[in-house]
Amino acid sequence: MTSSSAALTKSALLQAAFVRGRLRLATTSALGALLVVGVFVTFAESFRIAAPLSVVAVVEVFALTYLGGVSGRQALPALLLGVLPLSAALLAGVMGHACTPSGCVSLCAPFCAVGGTLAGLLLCRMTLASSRPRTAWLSGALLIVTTGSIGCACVGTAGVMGMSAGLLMSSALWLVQSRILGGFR
Amino acid sequence: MLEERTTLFPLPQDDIDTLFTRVKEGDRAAVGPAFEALWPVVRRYCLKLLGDESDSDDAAQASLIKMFEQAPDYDPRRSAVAWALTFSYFECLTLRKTRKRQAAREADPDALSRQASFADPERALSEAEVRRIASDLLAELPPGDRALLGVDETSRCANVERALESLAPSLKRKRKQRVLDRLRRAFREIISPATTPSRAEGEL
Repeated sequence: MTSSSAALTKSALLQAAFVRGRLRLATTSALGALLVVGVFVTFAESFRIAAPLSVVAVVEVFALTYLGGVSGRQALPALLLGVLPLSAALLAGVMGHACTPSGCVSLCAPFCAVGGTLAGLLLCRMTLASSRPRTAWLSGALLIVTTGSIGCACVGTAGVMGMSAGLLMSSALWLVQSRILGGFR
Repeated sequence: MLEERTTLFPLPQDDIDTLFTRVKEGDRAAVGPAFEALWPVVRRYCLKLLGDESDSDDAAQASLIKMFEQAPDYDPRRSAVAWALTFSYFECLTLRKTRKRQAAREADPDALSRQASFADPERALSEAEVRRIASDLLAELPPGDRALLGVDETSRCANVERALESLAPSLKRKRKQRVLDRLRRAFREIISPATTPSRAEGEL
């Protein structure tokens, strides 16, 4: 065996070991995510909507952790932030409707918007300090929307839209505020 | 002396730590440079512990593979070199123990079967049968392969010795592996009731 082919074999073995390590880490994170969303799926109103969304969230955590970097590091924390709008939506489901003389309105969408706003603020706080804030924010927001949708889909797209609007608005506010204060470079 | 010490590492230790932190973060591009930086240090350490070139190569490679597999668990506040040497130390210990056991087995190959025969005569009988089949199979091997396995000193003639010496260690290892694989297959075919011994003999 020549030295170049030996080096090639060694390099292939190392790459394989590296991939095995990443896969192990990603599997552990995905199992953690599965545990978290699994608990909430049991409380969700529609299992048929919640189950596929949970699978998507778990797959996202797996993929982001496998790829690593800032997105991988904060995959699980972002999923936990997504639990905020998710639990807000479940709470809205328990509380039912807000009835006024003109009629009854579901509380799901406003609760989702509040949950999304809170999650957006915390996400900004978490990501803007990182080395690649844009990537970190995008991957985090993707996970929050997916996880939050498990619960916020209770009133169809309105809940998801409410949550996304809250998330975007709070992020924009945080961005403006940090630019004004000079905290964001 | 100080100069000699600094040349032990191909890169400053801080740079090695940074490279391995990148590996921990999942940066595939840092795997090669991190390996290049750690390899000479680990290999030299293994050579010091084991005293044999090929064994130290094996131990260094195995320990670095384990280290890269566990890269996500690396603590960036600590030294990557120290972590690598910890892996190497345990790998060298394992290899040394394996070699010791091998040497003990070669020195007294019947020790285990003797112990077993006292405990269970039926098992001893079947082990004797297995041993007989194995020695038959070994006898059917070409002299070069027998010499390669080191099972028959009488088959070692000058030509075979020269041929074996001319082989690179890695080729020798591969060839030995192939012979052992063939032996294992043939052995399994003989002891399994579904196949006939003639087929197994044909394989050798």
